[in-house]
Amino acid sequence: MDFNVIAYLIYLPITVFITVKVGYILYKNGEPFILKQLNGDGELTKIINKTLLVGYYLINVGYCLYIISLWKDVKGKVDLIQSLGDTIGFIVLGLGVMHFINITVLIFLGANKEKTIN
Amino acid sequence: MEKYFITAYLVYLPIVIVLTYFVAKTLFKSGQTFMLDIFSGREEIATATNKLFEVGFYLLNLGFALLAMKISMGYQEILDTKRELLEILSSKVGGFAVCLGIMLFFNLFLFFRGKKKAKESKAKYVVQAGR
Repeated sequence: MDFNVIAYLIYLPITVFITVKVGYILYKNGEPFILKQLNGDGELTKIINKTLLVGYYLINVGYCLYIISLWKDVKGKVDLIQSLGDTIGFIVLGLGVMHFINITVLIFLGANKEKTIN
Repeated sequence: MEKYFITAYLVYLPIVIVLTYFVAKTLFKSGQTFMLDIFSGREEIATATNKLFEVGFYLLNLGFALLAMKISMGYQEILDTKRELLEILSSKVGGFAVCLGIMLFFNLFLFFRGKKKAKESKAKYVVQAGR
């Protein structure tokens, strides 16, 4: 079998698993923040949270799939491990950076909210 | 020659993952108490924030570890003895451990800053209530 095919078969389950798992954790733990933002409107919070989750899945899984089309030729076992590490590392690091940007936005939103209450 | 490359990666990856796991575990066990302090005892939002920071910590560190895994072109030609394998491995693992330590202190700094901010805003409320 072609080394590229092996790379895709290892790459896709790992990235999709990480994306789905991280998305679910964020979905669970983001709810108090949205609830606070909407002054405790439970119904609306659930709808917005669900929409955000679906959007997150679409963007990230779509990006993971798109990366496959850009993959260079893999020559040999060593190259396989190296290119897998590079691509998965890039995606995981990107997720982490985006996640911290989100936390910062949440903190700023919360700060604004407190100002308007006062 | 190819044999040493695969050994290097197979040794590097478990070390890095286990190291990240233990650091994150100890850091965010103590993070919970900080978060409770920052959010003045509201358990739900404190746990949620702690979990969010933990996930971010894992993502950043494991992503960086995977990106830094590749042995650069300059070394690829000379990696053919056990000694060079050990030297390259130690530089990789050591470099990663230093980065992990810097991230750990950065997170601790964030915790302390949050605590200070929470204290300040609490003092402001007390002053406003007193008026």
